[in-house]
Amino acid sequence: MRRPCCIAVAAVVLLLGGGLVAGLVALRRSGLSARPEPGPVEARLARTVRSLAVAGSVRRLPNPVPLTPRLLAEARAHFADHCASCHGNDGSGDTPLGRRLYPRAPDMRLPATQELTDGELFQTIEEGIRLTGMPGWGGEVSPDVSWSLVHFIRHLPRLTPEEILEMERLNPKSPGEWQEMQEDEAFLKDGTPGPAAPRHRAH
Amino acid sequence: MRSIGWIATIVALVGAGPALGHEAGVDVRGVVVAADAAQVTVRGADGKETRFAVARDTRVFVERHGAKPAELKPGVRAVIHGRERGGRLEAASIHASAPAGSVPSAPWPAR
Ligand code: HEC
Repeated sequence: MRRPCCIAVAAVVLLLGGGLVAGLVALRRSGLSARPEPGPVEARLARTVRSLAVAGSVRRLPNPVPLTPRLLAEARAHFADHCASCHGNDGSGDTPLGRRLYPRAPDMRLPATQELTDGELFQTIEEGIRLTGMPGWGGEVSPDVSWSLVHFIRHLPRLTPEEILEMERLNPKSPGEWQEMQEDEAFLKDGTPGPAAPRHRAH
Repeated sequence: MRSIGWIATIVALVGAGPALGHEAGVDVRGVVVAADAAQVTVRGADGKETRFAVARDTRVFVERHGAKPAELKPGVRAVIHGRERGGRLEAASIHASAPAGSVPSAPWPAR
């Protein structure tokens, strides 16, 4: 009886040790780099875990805030100010930040996001998503702000070029970018000359 | 574990800060010399002409309304934000004033 027991223990220790070493090697290899695209298995697993983290009662919550043109305009401005740096004004996630996060900021116009319930979107905005770039925004302002953002996310697939242009004016800017925008507008309005030569941009 | 996510986020935000601005390219304020579906040429105040390729995702606005490149009439003022892509200078966005004599409209549709 004794011997098989010892062998079993040794095997378990070996397996665990081997697993640990293999894990460490894999960890070193990856360098925990955010640059590679998350693999399909990892992405699937993360999404499943996220879905499990939403209580049924929250998932089924209807949006309590009535949708009006004014509310949508406010949510659009809020999104341009707080969310667009990662998600893009159009929700595509195609921004220098969104493309470099791990996991990437998703294209929220696609079914994967649009098929989430209002409650799931609300919880994501209020609580954020741990171990990702998605911050939790709840607590400081009324939950109605997050509900209005849920309306805006639903509107993303139908966003017009004019709405995107309006959002661009509201995106956070450096003083230099502000000045450039105002000069552009002045030039278009009445031809106020800007700097004569083309302006070359580095990164 | 919780702090790792936050540290990662902060590091990502700080690291990506410089990348938040424009990507490499050329901006020109000038007057449209010629425009069609494939390219737009503008003359800057220094008299120099710059030609931008029009891509499928080039955004074009006349008086803040979405428009087609062919609607850019020679002589109108334009601000073009260009980017280097695939070895050519491409227009990311083109903002143009309305042709002289046209009735200016609201900047964007009233809601
Ligand atoms: C610092 C970058 C960043 C900012 C700012 C940010 N997000 Fe996110 N967001 C992310 C990332 C990254 C994800 C993807 C997380 C994942 O895949 O688990 C995400 C996911 C989401 C999702 C879930 C989409 C889906 O399909 O799973 C929603 C909804 C969302 N964000 C809304 C917002 C809103 C609204 C704001 C502004 C109030 C905002 N985000 C601001 C980075 C950001």
